[in-house]
Amino acid sequence: MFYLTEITIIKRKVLTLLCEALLNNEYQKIREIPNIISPDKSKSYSCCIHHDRAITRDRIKHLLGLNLNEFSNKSWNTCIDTALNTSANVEFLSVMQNSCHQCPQKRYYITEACQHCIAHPCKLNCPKQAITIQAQRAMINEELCVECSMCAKVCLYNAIIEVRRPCENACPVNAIKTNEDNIAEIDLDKCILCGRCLLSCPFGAIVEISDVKDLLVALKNKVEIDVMLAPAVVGQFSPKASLQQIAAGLKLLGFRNIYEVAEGADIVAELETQELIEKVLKTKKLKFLTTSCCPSFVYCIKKHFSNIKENISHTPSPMIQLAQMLKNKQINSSSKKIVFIGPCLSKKKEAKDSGGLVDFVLTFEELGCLFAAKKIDVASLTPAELANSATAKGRMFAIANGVTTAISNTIKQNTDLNFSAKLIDGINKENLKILKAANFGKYDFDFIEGMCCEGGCIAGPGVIAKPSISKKLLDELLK
Amino acid sequence: MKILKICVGTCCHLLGSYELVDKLNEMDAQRLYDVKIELTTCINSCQSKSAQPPYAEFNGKIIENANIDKILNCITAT
Repeated sequence: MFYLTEITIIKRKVLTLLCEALLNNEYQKIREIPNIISPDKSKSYSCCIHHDRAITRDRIKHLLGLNLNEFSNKSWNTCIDTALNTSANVEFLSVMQNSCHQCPQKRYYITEACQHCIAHPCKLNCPKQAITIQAQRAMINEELCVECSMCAKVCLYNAIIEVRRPCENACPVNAIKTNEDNIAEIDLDKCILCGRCLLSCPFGAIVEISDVKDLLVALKNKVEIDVMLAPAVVGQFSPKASLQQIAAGLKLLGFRNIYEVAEGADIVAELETQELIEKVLKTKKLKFLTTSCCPSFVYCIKKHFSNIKENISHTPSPMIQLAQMLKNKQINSSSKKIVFIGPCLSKKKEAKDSGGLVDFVLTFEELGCLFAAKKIDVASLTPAELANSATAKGRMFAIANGVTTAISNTIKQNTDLNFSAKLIDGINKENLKILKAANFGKYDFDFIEGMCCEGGCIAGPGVIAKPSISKKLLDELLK
Repeated sequence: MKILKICVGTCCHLLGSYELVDKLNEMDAQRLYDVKIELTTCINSCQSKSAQPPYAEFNGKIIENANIDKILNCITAT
């Protein structure tokens, strides 16, 4: 579900101030950001402003690409100087140790709602005799409790609650572990970079890698950079801003040509349809085919359901497809760079693994902060031309079921074949069961559309706009 | 009919101004019965160094660091 938190606001304010300092070459100002964010005691949001400021410093260090473990004891000035002269050395997702609240591990609590009743269903039904009745209240013996949840289910007052770490609870693939200091840790072998832990942490302790610094340095050195905008971009920077106005804003920031990734998606829809017909519908070489456009979905299959990894489509994702086209046409020669701007965290990894096809990735949130830093109001600008155009088919990729619609339209146009599709709308418990069954050879479909985020890319971890608004605006554009 | 302008320019939108519109639209119509909510592009209040977006404007009065409480207080006061 999409909602705004204080953490989101702080994160965006910090990034905006950092962008402002980097854009104006006022490196001295970076030093001041923690004091601007936490000016005095009255505005403290943790135990004290000193802790607040330390957390903001960590956040900035990480945004600048410094590994927090290496730079925890270095002075603030040294950190900034080093960061400005070195390239990033951080994981795609990491936990800021000093910010992690060390939340309680999964366990059951008996709350004040306990009425000290005569029935004691909690005590009688506990298989481990972990519950005793003391001083007007049932108590759980933590050493005996096996977290079976029986007590919570049978309590007539719903007085027993389950408390889990928000990050652990949000992770669909159990990639959050706890280290010996009780601090959350991300198991990178399991992580699919969906970004849910990052959004769910109430203390903002989980942070992502950022290309903002490197990108601004490249812009300053007059490197020619082309932009590829993901189809979910509509409405991200203001519900009043059009695609052409966003392009105008990007040009003001110093970017060269602005492309819609949806053109890549148009071609992916054609290629993937051919692949589906050849490999599944006509020859039965494969039992079914899955989409390859969502990298988190692809990582999920590769890491957790390896029996069906051959079923992932070999068609490149729209981002890679378009980047290849730009390189092939030599519109984009080696001295020029490409930045992909999208809603997605896992695209950052896909781009790094692309062998130099895509040089930078920004999220909409990061670009929004850049606009704010440069005081660009996108919706007030005179529209500018985009360098390519796309059709509704490709633009639909941003919404769940869009790929299926595009492919079924393509099939209907060219053949009289039928196929049955399964939509994985968000990697969650229910949908993981479908993948698990498929992994064991149980399936009743020819095609899976895999979307890591429920609702599609418009609900990605890097969006600014509410997904329901993006969907409305995108629907208008698709007409 | 009084007009409440909520800025959905890039800077204010980034800090959640659209959430305000959403919440106000869901609210009890009685408090807002003669108020018309308008979305506006940047009203240029965010240009100064000490700016505190998101911004709203009611009856010509600028509300900085706007939240639901501040907006409702401003409406009740006028």
